[in-house]
Amino acid sequence: MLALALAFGAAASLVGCKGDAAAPTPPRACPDETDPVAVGAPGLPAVSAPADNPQTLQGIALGRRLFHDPILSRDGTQSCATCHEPAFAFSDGGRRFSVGVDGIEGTRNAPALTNAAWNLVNFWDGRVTSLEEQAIEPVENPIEMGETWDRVVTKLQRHPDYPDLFCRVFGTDVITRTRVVQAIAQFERTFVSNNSRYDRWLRGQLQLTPAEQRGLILFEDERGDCFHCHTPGLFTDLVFHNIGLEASPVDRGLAEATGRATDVGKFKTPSLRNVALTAPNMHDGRFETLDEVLDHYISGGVESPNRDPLIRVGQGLPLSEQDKQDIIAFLHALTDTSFVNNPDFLAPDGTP
Amino acid sequence: MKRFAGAGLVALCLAVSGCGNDENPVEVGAQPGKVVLQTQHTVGGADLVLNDIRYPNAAGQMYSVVTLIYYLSDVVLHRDDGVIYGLDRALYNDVADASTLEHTLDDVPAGTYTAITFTWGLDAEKNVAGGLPDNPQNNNMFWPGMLGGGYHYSKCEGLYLDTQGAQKGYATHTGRVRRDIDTEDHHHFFTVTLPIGLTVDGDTWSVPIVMDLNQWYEDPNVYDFPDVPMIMNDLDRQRMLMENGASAFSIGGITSR
Repeated sequence: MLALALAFGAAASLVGCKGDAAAPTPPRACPDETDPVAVGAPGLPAVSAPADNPQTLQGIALGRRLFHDPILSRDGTQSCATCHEPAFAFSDGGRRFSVGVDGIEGTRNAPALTNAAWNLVNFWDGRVTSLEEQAIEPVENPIEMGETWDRVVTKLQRHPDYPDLFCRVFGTDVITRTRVVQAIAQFERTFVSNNSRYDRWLRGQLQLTPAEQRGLILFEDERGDCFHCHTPGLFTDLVFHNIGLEASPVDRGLAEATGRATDVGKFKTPSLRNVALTAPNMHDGRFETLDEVLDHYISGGVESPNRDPLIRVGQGLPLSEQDKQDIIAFLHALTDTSFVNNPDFLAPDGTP
Repeated sequence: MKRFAGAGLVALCLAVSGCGNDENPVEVGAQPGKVVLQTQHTVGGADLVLNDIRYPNAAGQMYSVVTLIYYLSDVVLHRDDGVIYGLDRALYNDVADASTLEHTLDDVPAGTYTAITFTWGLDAEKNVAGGLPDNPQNNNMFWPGMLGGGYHYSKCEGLYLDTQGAQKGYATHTGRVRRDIDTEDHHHFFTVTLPIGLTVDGDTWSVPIVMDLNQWYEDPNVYDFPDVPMIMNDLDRQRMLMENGASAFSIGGITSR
């Protein structure tokens, strides 16, 4: 890299001798080593980073700063963290719909980012697969950050710190949209939650309370029948379901991405890890409490196109009020306080 | 992928039953080939169409299929001289994902094969937590430990019309049953043996394994969808399905490709 820089410098000098063209700034000599970081965690399914975006300490640090920096938004008021707050498992702090730069509300509840590295698909309707692709959209969404990527790149390129930070990660100080979202995705892949009371119970480090134990049993048998979609481990099957919320879904969900009538009303199963911190619930945040969520399933919901066969419309779940409270107790055992209080997820020094 | 060619088993076979066929040796110079197993699905003989309540079962219920995911495992091809060739792994099939419905057996030794055997579901050794590769497909087949543990053998889900004409869900999930009153698990995997006829000599063959869903619900036990879709811990229903499933499979037209 250094040799190339010297050669380019010599060429620039020659060009400069011809007269009126301003001498270009020679490329920065970037460090040619980064520190690799493994993706994944014990107790969770195997996962890996994309081959073209390997996880590094430097990339994570850059992504952390970008995630918290409102420079990504048109008026400098919105960062990723504005709607994805670490203390709420990277959901939007109790808001049903997030508010963008122009004060306009969105139409879907900001999803939590717990264990984002495992997301095979992203957004409630699964319209993109990778975290890198996901990070592209909010910047230019007019009711979110409302900015253009060209302007973001220009702002970052002129910033006193960012060219050097990109240099350390990508071996070049030339900032591009791709490199921005790659860094953000690297940071998001560190959002690992596997230290809840449930996890520690699995590891034999504590006993669940009687209510939590009863809730777990209901969760994992067909009376509660939670486990088929909220499969233990990630507590999501990463698949799409219509759970009988509406007879005629206002939001078409997965069908918006696929165009298929058989996908109308289907949304990605959210993880239940940290669900006690991510209210309101459902894609549109219609349920403020876990009680309301359980009441929906216990009632059986309503007949709807493509409703999932496991949603017992007209029958509901055979659960008592005590059963419901036990399941909720178990759901609270999925809260990972070390995850939501992890200082590595907070805004780093230098972030506005 | 673990493959095995049954040299040791052949020796045993010859010693015990004399099932080798010295009069029909593999042609000198014949080359290994490929066999592509294609899982196909019918209902009452008609090709399966998802998401449509159009199929009558033997109990008189009209039903649809929304989800059909299952494992076949331990596939073995049997050569006419007693040699066997197989895959010691589970084959995951999801009807909604065509990429999961073809399974290629590479380097199949040359010769004439007369039968194929496979296990419906997973045997006891594979059907334990962590018994299959750690990936989203297998993880979503999780079968809770208190119900027996391991994995679903299969998930067939859909809607049916009850006697009042109302849509209800069914979930024909098969797997192991563990009950508090029992000292042992109740496994419900079974072996299917089907005749085939193909001669491998450096070529690639497509072998369709056809599963007819109605067979699961009618032969020999007429199975009606229960009012509440809870059968994972229902020993009687799991046994009925196991008995019915054996006749659900056939081999379609084998073709060279």
